[in-house]
Amino acid sequence: MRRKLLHIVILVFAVWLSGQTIANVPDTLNLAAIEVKGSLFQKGQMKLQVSNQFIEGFKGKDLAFLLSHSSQIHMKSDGPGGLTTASFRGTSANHTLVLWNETPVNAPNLGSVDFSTIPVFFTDQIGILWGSNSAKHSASGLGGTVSLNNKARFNSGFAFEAAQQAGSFGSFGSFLSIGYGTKKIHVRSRVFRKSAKNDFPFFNYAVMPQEWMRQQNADFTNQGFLQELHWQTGKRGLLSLISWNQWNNRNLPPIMTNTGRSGQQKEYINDRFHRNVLSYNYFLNRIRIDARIAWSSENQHYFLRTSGGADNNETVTLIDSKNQANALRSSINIEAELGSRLSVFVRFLNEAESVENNNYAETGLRNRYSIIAGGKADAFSWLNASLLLKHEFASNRSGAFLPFFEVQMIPVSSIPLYIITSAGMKLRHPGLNDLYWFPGGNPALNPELSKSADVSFQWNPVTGLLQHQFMFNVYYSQIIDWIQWRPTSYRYWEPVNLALVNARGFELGYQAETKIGSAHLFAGLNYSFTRTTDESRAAQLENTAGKQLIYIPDHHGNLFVRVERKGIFASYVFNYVGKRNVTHASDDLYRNILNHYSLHHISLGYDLTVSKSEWSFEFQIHNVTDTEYQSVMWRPMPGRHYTIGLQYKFR
Amino acid sequence: MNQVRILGTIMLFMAFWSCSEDNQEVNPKLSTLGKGFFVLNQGNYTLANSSLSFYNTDSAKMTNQVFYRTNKVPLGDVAQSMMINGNYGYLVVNNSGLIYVIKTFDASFAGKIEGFQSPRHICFVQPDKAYVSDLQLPGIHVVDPVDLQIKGFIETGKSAEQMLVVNEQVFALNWSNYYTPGDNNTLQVIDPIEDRVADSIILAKEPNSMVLDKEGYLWVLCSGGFMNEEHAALFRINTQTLDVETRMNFQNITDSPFGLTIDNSGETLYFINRDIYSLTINDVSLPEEAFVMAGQRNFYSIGFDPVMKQVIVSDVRNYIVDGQVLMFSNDGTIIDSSKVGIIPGQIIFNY
Repeated sequence: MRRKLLHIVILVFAVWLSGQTIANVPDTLNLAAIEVKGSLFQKGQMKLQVSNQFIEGFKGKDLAFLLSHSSQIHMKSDGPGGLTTASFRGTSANHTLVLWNETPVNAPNLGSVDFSTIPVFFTDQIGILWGSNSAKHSASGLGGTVSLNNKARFNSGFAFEAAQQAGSFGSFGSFLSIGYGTKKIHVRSRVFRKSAKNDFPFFNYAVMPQEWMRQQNADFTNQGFLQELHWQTGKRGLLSLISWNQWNNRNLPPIMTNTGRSGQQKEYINDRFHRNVLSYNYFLNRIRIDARIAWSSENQHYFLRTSGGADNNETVTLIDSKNQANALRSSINIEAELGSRLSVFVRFLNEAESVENNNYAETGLRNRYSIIAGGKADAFSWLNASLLLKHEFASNRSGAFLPFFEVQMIPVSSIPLYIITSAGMKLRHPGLNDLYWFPGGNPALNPELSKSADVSFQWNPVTGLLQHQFMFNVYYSQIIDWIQWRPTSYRYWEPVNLALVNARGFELGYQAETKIGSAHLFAGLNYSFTRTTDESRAAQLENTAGKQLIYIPDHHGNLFVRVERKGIFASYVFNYVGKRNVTHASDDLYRNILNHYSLHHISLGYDLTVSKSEWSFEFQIHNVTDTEYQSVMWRPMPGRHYTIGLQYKFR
Repeated sequence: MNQVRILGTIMLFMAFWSCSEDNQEVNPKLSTLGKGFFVLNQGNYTLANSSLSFYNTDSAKMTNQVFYRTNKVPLGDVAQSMMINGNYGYLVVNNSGLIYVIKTFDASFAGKIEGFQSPRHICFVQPDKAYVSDLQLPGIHVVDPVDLQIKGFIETGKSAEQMLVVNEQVFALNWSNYYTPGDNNTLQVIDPIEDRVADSIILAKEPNSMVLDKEGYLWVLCSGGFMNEEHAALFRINTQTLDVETRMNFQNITDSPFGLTIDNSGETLYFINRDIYSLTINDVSLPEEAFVMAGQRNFYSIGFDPVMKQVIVSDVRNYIVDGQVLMFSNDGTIIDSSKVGIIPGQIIFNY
C-alpha cells in the first residue's frame, strides 16, 4: 500500500511538472541568461562530457553512482560500498579503461577498477570516451574510457569548501577542500571520509523459512586525500603535481543463501593506494608538448577467518592474502598544427608494472610500450578525417599494429548536426593474475583484440527557447580471444582465450537546460540497448552462442531533472536496468535471470549566498518506491533510505 | 515549453514503467515426483545456483528445479550431497552451511539443520543419530535427524568426506587437508556408540569414494592428490580385520579417478577416470579398456540404477552451462539423456 502511495506521489510530481510547464512558462525566454555548465558531447568528437550539474549534484557520491545515473555505462554492484564494476558498450569489467589525469588506474593484476572507491568529490571533469578518443590512450579500453581530470584554477584566490552528510544505516560523509590560486600558482587540498554500518533490513527470500533480516558484516570506511599543485612556468609552460592517496576498508557480507553459516566468519578487504602524477605541458606557437610520469602503489589485503572447535574460538580457516602492485607509467605527447587544415601528433607510452601476491610463484613483471602517431585533416569546412596508427607490445611478446580511422562531417551547414564514424582496432593485454596466478595462471595467453566500428549523430540545435543536445550512437565490435576463466579437470580454474564476442547496440542521449521565469531547469536523459554474445566455436558446441553474456543488461536508461528557483532546488533521478542473465544455463531453469528494476531518487534543498559565502542544505530520499532489487545475484540492496547534507563554500 | 512538457510526459511514462510487476515465475509448482532418481546439481561456488532435478523412470521425463518449484526458494550455494532416510531427503548445502530436509515424494520443505561451517556429507548411523562431515573442521558433527539439531562433535583431527556404515562401524574418508591439519590419505573408523575415532587405515592421497561389495569388502578409490603427488589407487579392505587386502595402482601419474560406485548385485564396480571404467570384484588388475569413452563429454558423477539396471552418468560439460545426465545399458550403449542443472554432482535413487 505504501509503495502504491509512493508511486502515486511520483505520478503527481510528473503531472505537476507537465501542468506547470503549460500554465506558467512565458512565451519568450532570454537564452543569453543561461549559463551552460557542461555539455552532453564535445562537438564533433566521440566524447561525452559529464555535465557539471551532475558532478555538483552527486559530489557526495561515488563515481559508480554518478555514471550509472548520468551515462550509458552500466554498473554492477555488490551493494553500498561494495565492489562495483562497469560494463561499457557490452564489454566486461576489465574492458573499461579509467584514466586519472591521463594516467591509467586499472589494477595491473585484475585489469578492472572498483568505481565505488572513487569519490566524485576528487574530480573536476569527467569524460566518457570512445572511438579514436579512446584508442589514443593506453591499452585496455576495448569498451571505452572513463577520463577523470583535476583542473587548475589560476586567479581563483582563496576557496574553502566543507560538507557533511549523514544518512540511514549509519552512513556519514565528510568532505573538505581548501585551495588558493594566484596568476601563477594554484594549490588545492581535498580530504574525504565516508563510512556506513550498512545494516539495512531486507527480506530474505533465499532461505527457508523466508524472513526479514538485517545485512551483516557490510560496514565500510573509505578515506583519502588529494593534493594538487599547478605552476605556470613562464608564459608557455604548466607544471602539475597531483597526489591521490586513499584507504578503503570494507567487510564482506554473505550472500542471501549463506546467512545461516556458522564459524563466526570474518571476511574483509582492505586496500590502500597512492597515485601520483607529475606532468609538464609546454605550448610553443602551434606545438604542444605534454610529458608526464606517474607512479602508483596499490596494496590489497584479503582476509577470511572462521572459527570452530571445542570452544568455538579456534581458528579453522585462515586466508590472509596480500597483493602489492606497483606501476611506473610515463608518456610524452607532441601535437602540432601544420597550417590551418592539418594537425598531427605523436605519442610514446611506457607502463612498467609489478605485482607481488601470495598466489604468485614469483613477482609478476611486465613492461608495455605503445607508439602512436596520427593526424587530423580538415578536407573541407564540412568534412574532416583522422587517422591514428598505433604499435603496441608487451615484454616478451610480439607487437601488434592497431590502426584507427575516423571521419567527421556536417552534412548541412545550416543545421548543427555532426555525423562521426570510426573504425579500428584495440588491444587489451591479460591482467597479471591471468598470467601468474597459482594455480591456473596461463602465461601463454594472447591479448584480446577488438575490431570495432561506430557511427555517432550529434545534434546541437538552438531553438530560441531551450538549449539542448541530442546524441545517437550505433556501434559494433568484435573481440577476438576474449579471456574466460574456465574450470579444468584438475579442479582449479584456468584462463583461456576462448570466446569470440560480438557486442553491438545503440545509445541515445539528450540534455537540456533552460530558464523558465526565474526558475532554472536542467535535464539529462540516457538510454542504451546492448546485445553482447559469444559466437565462438566453443559457445556453439555448448549451445550458448547467441545468448546475452552474463550481467550485461539489454536495456539501461536514466533521467535526471533539476529545478532551481530562488535558491530552492529539487531534483529527481530515475534509473532503469533491464534484465540480466546471471548464468550461461538455459533460460528455462529458474534464477538464471535477474529481473529488471527501476529506481527513483528525489532531493530537495536550499542554497543561500551571503557575500562570498554559499550555504546549501539538501535532503535526499533514495529508492523512493522502496523497490526490492539486486544488482548482483543474491546480494541484497537497501530499500528506501535518506540522507541529509550541509555544505559551505567560501570563494 | 513543449520540450518541458515532453519531459513531464517522459517522467509520467517512467513512473508507470516502474509500477510494472516482475514476472519471474518461470516454472509452475509440482505435484508428486514418482519413482526414479534425483540429480543434485552443485551449481557454481558463491553463485548460489545449485538445484535439484528428478527423473521419473515411468514417464522417462526429467524435471528440473524441483526444490525451487515446490518451495519457492533457491536450494542454495553448492549443494554437495544428498541422502535419503525413509521418506525424507537430506540435502547438504555446503557453502550455505545447512542441510535442507525434504519430503521425497514432492520435494517439499520439511525442515532444516543450520549452524554448519562447510558441511559435505550426511550418514545415518542410528534412527536418532546421523554424522555430518565438514570440509573446514577437523571432526564430524553429530546430529539428530528427527529433531534437526546438532548434538555434538567428534574430534577426528582432520576433515572427513564420504561416510559409510558397515558392521556397526562408520568408515570416513579423509579427503582434504586444505583447511585442516593432518594427512589426507586415510580412512578413519568411527565408533558410533561412543562417537570417537576407533582406528585409522593409511591408503593413498585423496580417498574420494567408497562402496561395499556383496562379500562385505570395502572398496576405496584414491585420486592420488590435487597436484598428482602420488599414483592414484583402488583399495579393497577387509572390514572385519581392517586390513588392506588389495591395492591396484593406476599406471599414469596424471590419472585422477573418482566416483566409485557399484551395481545392485554388489559385483561390478564403476568409476570415472575421464572415461568410465568397470571391473568385477574378482578382478586383480585395473581395466585397460573403457566401459564408455568420454569423447567431448566431461563425466562428473556416476550411479547404478538398481531397478532399471542402467549406469547413470552426469556430464558437467564446461561447468558453467546446464549439465546433462546420460543413461547407459550394462553393455555401454546409450539409452537416454536429459538436460539438468549446473554441475550435476550426485545421482540419488528413490524407489
